[in-house]
Amino acid sequence: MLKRLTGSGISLLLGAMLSMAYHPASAEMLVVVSAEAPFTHLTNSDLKDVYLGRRSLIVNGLQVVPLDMTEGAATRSEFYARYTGQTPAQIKAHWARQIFTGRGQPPQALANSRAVVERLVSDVKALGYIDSAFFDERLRVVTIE
Amino acid sequence: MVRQVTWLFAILIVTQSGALIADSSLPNLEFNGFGTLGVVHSDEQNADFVNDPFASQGAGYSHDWSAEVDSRLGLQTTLRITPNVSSVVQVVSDKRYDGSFTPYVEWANVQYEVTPNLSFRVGRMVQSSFMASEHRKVNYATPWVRPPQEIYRLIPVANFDGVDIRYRYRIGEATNELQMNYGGGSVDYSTGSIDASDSWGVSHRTHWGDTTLFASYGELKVSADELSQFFDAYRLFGLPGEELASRYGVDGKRTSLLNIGLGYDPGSWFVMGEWARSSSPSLLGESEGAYMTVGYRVAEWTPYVGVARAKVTSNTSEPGLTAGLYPSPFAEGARLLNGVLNEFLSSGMQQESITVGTRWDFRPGIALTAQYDRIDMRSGSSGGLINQQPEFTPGGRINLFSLALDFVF
Repeated sequence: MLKRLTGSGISLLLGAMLSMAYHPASAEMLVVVSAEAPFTHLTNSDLKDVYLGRRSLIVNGLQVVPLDMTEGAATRSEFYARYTGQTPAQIKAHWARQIFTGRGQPPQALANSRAVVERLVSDVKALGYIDSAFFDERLRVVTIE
Repeated sequence: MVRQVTWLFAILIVTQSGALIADSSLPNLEFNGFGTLGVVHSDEQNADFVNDPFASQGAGYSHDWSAEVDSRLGLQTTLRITPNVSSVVQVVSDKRYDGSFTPYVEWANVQYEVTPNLSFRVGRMVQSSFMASEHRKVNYATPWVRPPQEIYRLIPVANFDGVDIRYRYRIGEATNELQMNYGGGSVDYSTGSIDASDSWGVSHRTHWGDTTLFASYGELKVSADELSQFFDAYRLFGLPGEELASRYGVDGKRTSLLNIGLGYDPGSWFVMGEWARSSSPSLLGESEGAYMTVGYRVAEWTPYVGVARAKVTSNTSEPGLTAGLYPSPFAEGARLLNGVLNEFLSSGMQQESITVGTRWDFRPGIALTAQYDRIDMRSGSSGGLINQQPEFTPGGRINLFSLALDFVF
């Protein structure tokens, strides 16, 4: 757990440094929201619960709508490995348990980072993860604690 | 009666909610499915190994390798009508009591979410008696080829028609789900049906980091026409017969089921286990079951090993009527009834098993699982085997080899 948190902290820092100092060509994964969104911090456990459909409200009763990427996207595997510690197959099995017991459907899956960005800027409730190459001033990086 | 009221409520919610549609993305219809293509071999040739105790045939006696024990297809539609109202209909086809694969409705309910954390459902659902009860037919969602029968056969877990309430809440980092249900249902078998009425259950599940804790308790009234007739026959034998009928009869008595489960899954490995006890002041008696499975994940492979045990803690034999006291043909009748009663009492599952297997997630949404089970039946017990032939000796050991391709979409 500690290792995972430190790991995510370091890579966020790296991502931030890269996007400031260099042209952001490197494939870093960032958790982002609209610059207008009412929150900029999430705990890892909040993020995990929201993406696994265990709850849709975070601290202060804010509603969050998670956005996913379609299966097979490298960014997607990296996101789930880092923040849930699970492989795409484990995530698939998790959603099978939810769907077939009437507990809900997985987050809407978009084709790529560009599509996620377009959705984020038009919905302040939305939460997503993107390749840092697609980061722009309309977005804000969410710090995962 | 419960059933009619349930359906009336379901129809009311659907028709009333039509007026509330505002969101342009609604109504939204999702289509999903799951299934298993599986074969299993049993080295006990004088009886059939089955997954569903009400199936007509299995592996061993009827088939050397049987594709009918685990193969299954399930299709589901999820309709979101308004932001707060949704409906799930799930139809499943697998081997049934009459030998067919005739599809049946496993889930068909309407859910109303009062808040994101509180929801009501009416219609057909599956009771959450055990940790994996509700998704026990979705093999892709469980580590094994089939759930450990030492627990999952304690009661013939079946869908019920009724109502349920689910409440999700948080304590610190832990997310919790409390579920309560009430209803009734029935299971058909070759010469009749088993009805469960006036059944209720409460279950609670906690996710705390990598740990899952589960507990449930429920009660139901079980009845079967054949059993009622059987005990009516006992009542013809005066006071001793009346006493036996009231001691072992099931009508009007409540069967209770208590279950505790735990899981720990930090990602690279997992462990899960359950313990359960069913209890009824009737010939259903008292039984206990438990299992524990440990698995390890390395790339696409998940090797696992498990142990399980089931035992009957109430008496498994009964002297019954003293046949010698009755004139012929009542004496013969008494012996016949005693024989059937003892057959019932000794038929409870009593066994220990070891399971070794591996799952291979070789494509998204598809997994291949190979599993070996060694089942040691306690002396005099026939485990859960059906179609027992005259040559079959209870209390032996059987070896099972299973291969299953599980998928979801």
